[in-house]
Amino acid sequence: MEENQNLEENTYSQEEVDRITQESIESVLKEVQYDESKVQGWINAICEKVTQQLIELGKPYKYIVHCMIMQRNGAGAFVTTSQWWDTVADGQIIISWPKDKQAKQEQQKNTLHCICSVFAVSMI
Amino acid sequence: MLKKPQQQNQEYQIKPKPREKFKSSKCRELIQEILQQKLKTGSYQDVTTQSKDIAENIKNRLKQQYTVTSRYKFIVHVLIGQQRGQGVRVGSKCFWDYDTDMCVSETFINDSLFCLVTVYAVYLY
Repeated sequence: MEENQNLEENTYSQEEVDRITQESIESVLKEVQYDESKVQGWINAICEKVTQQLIELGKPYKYIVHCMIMQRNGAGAFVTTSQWWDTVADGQIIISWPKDKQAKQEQQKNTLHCICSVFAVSMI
Repeated sequence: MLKKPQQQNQEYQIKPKPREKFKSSKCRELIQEILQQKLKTGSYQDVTTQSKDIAENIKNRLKQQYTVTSRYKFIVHVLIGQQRGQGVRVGSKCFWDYDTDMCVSETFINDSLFCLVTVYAVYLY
């Protein structure tokens, strides 16, 4: 029983990370237009926000946040990942923003794409 | 009386030995080699299979180089985008052990696409 509890304390929840990443991107990129000189700052802000909140979860994990922002002009982009790790303890999340539904609604307004991948690697 | 813990001549490995450490230059060569091989005549059409192929290939080669005895975990991230003159910027932030963990990234560009491969090597204590 105790062991189970320990396990729960030490593993992170996928939903939590998903929420954190989603919110961080939303807060930074909402209602902005693509601007080459500002993109660097946005990426920095997103990565900083996500890692900060992940660390605050206080789990024994190492985190990697990878963020790409691309100007929207009809060009496509594709992300693939491949890992060699502990499939039970470790986890990854890839979030693309804006979501398909949102994109359709605000097609005119959006001038950028963002793809954010978060990897959590267990230390134990 | 409490028994004194027996002193055993045991060594615990908490850091990779220098020769076991992840070598970024070697990895860089490997990535570049595979990218040249796969994407030299590549176009953006068949990118889904292509990128999967690249990621799996790099991972398998790394697995061969660092056998089961090494305690590195590998993450291979492949990003392929269509080349249409748009602006792109990529950044990553890592929360890890600076001494043992490593990150390598390489790019490849041709007329129709750009490809960015990032490999993260994370040490398991």
